[in-house]
Amino acid sequence: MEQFDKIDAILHEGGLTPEERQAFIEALESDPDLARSYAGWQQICAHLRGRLPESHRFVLYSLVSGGHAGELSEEESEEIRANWGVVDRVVESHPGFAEAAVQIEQDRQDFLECWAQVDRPTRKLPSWSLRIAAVIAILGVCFVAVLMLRDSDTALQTIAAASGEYERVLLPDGSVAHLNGPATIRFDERDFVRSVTFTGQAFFDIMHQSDPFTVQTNEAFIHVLGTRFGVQSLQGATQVVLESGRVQVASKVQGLPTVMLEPGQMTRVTDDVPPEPSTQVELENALNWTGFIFLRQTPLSRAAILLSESRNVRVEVDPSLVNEPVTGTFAPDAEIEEILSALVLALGTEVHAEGRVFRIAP
Amino acid sequence: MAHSKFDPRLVRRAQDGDGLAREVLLRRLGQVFKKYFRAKVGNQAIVDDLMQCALIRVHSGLSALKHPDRFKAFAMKAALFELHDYYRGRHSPKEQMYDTQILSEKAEAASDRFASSLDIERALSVLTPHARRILELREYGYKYKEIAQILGTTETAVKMQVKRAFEKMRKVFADE
Repeated sequence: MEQFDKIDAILHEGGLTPEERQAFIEALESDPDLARSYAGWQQICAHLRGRLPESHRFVLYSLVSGGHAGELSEEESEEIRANWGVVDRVVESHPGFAEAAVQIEQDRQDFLECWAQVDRPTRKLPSWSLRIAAVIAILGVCFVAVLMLRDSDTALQTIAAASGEYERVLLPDGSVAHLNGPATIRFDERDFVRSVTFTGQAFFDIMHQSDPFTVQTNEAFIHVLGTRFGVQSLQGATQVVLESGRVQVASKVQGLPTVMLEPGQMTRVTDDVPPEPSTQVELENALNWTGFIFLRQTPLSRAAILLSESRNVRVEVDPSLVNEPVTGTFAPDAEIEEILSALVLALGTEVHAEGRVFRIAP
Repeated sequence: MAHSKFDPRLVRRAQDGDGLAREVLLRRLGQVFKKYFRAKVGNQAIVDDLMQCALIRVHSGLSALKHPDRFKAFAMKAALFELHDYYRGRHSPKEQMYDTQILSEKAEAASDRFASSLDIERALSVLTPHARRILELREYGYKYKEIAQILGTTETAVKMQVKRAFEKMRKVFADE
């Protein structure tokens, strides 16, 4: 190893092995040239570091330089005003530090991108649709493989969730598709006409508008206005389960009879035949694959069990409340605190938390 | 109606002592921090440390935040402070550790004798502006690979610049 590499290893990059250290010590003692180089280089490095402005002040300076003075608190603004000249002179005379200031601007941008990825907008449910103000809070970082392909001419967007993964897709009209992989959804982002093509499994929450919304699978057309329903388009068959509103399900073969679903009903479509007549189902079971929690006049004690199991917490209910019916729909990534907040708000009760144990009491 | 996971009302509740609100807020923020530090640093142990420190910074400074609607900027600064504290701390502790641990008294004396007589400005003046920029970035705390990314070049090219700078300075050291 050359002289530079040894010194650089000691001062910056990873260090030396014990044997190399010992050899270096002996070389320093016996080689004046090496001792000079080591001491000189160390001095240079320390000198440059000594010129660096204080770390936080430098970050604030860089934010202001990048045009983000509004992101400083009053105290921070005051501090920067008082020290601007000193920091500015150092930066002007040290091109590397000026480069670091530019890098802080990039760091800021990167942070805001991460923020936007986590803080994706969600839409509140219309309050009239549920006895309890249902909360769909879309949270969390989803461990999902997302494929996003954009066709430059048509702005065609394809989003896919891998098997077992969950992905929330906000459509241009504000509707939401909760993909439960394997699933792929495709739509024209630029000229969105309330129509998507879809395969796999998803729970749709369609924004009510005068224009109908259409989900097209390999086997069926599902026409809706504003509603919430689950679709499984797998292995040559499409199954639709309606949670609220109304949907019309049609085969892709023209001229065949269609089926209109009411809440709590299900139908199934296979190639070349009309949809099966609607049948009544238990939402909790029929939409279990969505990962949603559906409470429909469900006793609070039962809701507590469902929540405890799905969120890996313990939800306890005061004996006086166990039979209280609750209603609500909660997305797979809604946090337990928010769900419980919604429930106790509707019941006029309280929730007490101790770690991962939550107790609902009058 | 679209709404943020970091709604100012949630921030305000957390500031007002609502333990649940604070827990929810910090957990959500933890997701942002994790994503961010992972992209910036990569090493999981360091990511965990930075995340922890940034969350503590937010936790302890939250009550002093005057405008809950500026929570994003508040959190962003916490992340930047931690990240750049980390960069700054990369080199100096190592140097001190090695100074005290590896150099024998005799070796220290040999290097100290020379160090006291070094004209630093003269030594730095032999460097090209590009080399000096790289040295300053390195002393800021960036690794060769990161400097290469910042300057749009290769790690090898950056290291070669530093090595050339060292060789130039050796001649200055020899004249002192």
